[in-house]
Amino acid sequence: MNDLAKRRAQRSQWQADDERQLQQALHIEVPEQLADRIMVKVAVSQKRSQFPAWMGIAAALLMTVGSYFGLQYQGPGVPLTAHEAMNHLFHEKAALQASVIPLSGAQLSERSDNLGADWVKQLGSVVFAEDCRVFMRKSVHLIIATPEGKITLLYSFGNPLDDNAEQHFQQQGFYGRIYRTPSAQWALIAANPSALKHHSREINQLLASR
Amino acid sequence: MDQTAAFNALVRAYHSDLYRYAYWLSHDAAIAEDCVQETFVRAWRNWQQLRDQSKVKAWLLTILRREHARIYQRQPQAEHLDVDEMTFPAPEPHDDTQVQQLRSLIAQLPLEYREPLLMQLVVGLSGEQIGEVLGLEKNAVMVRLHRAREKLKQMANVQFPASQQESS
Repeated sequence: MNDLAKRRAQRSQWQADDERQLQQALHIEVPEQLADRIMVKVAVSQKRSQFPAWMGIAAALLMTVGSYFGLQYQGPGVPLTAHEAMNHLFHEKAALQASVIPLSGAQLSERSDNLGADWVKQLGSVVFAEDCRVFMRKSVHLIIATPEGKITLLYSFGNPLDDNAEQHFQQQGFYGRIYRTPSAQWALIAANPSALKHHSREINQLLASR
Repeated sequence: MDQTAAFNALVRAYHSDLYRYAYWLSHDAAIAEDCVQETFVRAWRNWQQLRDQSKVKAWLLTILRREHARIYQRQPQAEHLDVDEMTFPAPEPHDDTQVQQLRSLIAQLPLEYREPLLMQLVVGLSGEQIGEVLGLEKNAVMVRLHRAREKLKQMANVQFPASQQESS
């Protein structure tokens, strides 16, 4: 091999080394189970997009008119807000299929829009968090994985859920409990009743301490 | 294969490349993850509009770039990140110092050079495909790719002269 060929070979070797190093530098680690979280998010958005904004406005108008006539006639009420809360449970199947990993404290704060939902970490691992609206109220939708099964928690400012909500959850084959404080409301819903029963005392204690 | 299964396969195939791309655009792991999640949400909504399956990577990348721009419109202050404040992923045991230095240089590379480089090396697009995404001629893309590498070398000579001597 002459000098020119040697120099060319050396140069292409250096270039190959540079490219390999560049590839190595760009190849950063991808968060674990990101694909699972994406699929859950897509499933959530899919269901959400089935309820366009005009339906929310129409529901608000119906509720306003309904509450006016409700004062005139105390017939059996339709727990519209509980029904809406149930609409948030479509993700359960997707979330159960996806073996999502717990969110970090920072991720939870960020995704729950810093609504102060950190306390739920004491119940179990938070595997899903998303800010949302329950009957026009700013809310946070969380899924907590407990040893007894997953619990969905809807944390809303104000008190958008009515007293019939728990009954409505049961009619849909779920077990739900509503907890209230002066400024907010927590709806905890699970497919497995023991998940809620197991944590009800703990939740009461946590809320009492707030 | 039904549509959902096909889309989930797409997520599994491309989420890593898109995450890395978003990370190198934003230098922030949380923003990168949000960006990729939103990209796939939008991709799913517009899935029917994708006529040519062979262009799926470039299509996803176009959505991701728009999503990233949207996030930065909401957080304009993030545009002015100081390189010293950027967080890089924790080094892997096999990462050597040069790789870490290279990461800091890539982060400083102007966007007009960084993006084509990422499209080529992270996403695996050809010069022509990069041109389609960026709205450039293939020749202009090749020039940018060459300049990106040259610029990295120049920056390395200025910022890490000792390690450059060691390596040569």
